[in-house]
Amino acid sequence: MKKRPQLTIATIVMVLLCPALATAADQTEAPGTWQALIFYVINFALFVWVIKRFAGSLIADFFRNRAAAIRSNVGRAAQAFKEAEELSRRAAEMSAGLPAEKQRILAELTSETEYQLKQIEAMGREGLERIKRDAALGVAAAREAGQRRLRESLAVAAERLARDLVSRDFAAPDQTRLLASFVGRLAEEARN
Amino acid sequence: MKSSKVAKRYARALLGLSGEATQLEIWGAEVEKLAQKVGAPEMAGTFASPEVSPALKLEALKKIAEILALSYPVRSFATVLARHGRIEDLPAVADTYRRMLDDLMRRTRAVLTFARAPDDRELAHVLSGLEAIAGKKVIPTVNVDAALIGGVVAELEGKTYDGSLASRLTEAARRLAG
Repeated sequence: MKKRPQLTIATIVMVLLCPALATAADQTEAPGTWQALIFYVINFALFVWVIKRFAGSLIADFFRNRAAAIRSNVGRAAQAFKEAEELSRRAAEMSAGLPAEKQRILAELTSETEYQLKQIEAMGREGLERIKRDAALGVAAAREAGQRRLRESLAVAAERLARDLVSRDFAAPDQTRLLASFVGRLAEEARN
Repeated sequence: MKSSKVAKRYARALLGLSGEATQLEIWGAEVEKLAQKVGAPEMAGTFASPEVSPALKLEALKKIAEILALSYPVRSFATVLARHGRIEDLPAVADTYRRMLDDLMRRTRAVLTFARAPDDRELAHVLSGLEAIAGKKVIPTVNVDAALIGGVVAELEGKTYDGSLASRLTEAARRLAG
């Protein structure tokens, strides 16, 4: 298979050079003869036959492939052109709709901003109310705790004072009276 | 066997030795004296120690009984306890005996804490109130605690009856504090 292109090339070279060899002896311009014409015709026919015999299929394949490639490229180019046109059309449509879209987005943003502002305001009011409530509760709790501490301190002081006074002035009749009261309570419990 | 069961068994045995109340009272007092000596910190360790032989413990108990001039039945009772290795249970036995004797005699005991030492009339007055509650005779143990300021606190059969001035003042202060 490898010798085939070499053989083909050698044959082509021989066919091309043979007419030159045939005319190489004629140094002077001589009028054409029928024999020379026939020779050229045969020679050309051989040339054509040889070309067709050995390179015809290659050339045909080459041109078929080339034609297919060109048709494919043309198809792709047409498809790309169509897509470009479609894109161009869409871009034009979008460009045309841009002001309206801007207006719509602006309106949406304005509406959303108003809504959010209302929400923030409501939350702020609610937070303020809560802080007020918490503050009121805190104040009430602190006041209650302060009053309780004060009452406890007063109670402790009063108890201490009472203990001192009672201890100082406590006498036997007081003890008798306390015991009588105690016995009275016992008697009441016994009855129950 | 639990100590309380042992104490009950021995206390019941001693109570069964006589039907005479006076005799039982005397034995009770003697057992309590012996229990106080045996339960004293300096003696309790010796009687509880496994290093001291049972014979030596028995001898020591006999000596103590002799010094205390205990009656023959109580000495015999102590000897039985010692031989059974129950000397350290003697305080519990004495306590149980006292309670069982109290039940038998239909009486109970109360701890009375006065703010100042009571005279006989005051004590009798308080006891009458306690006996009305208990429904039986009350034998008092009297303490004095000046911190009560006035009045009395009685502990009877697991309950506390507080008639002290200190607790009234505390209650008043608590009410004042809210």
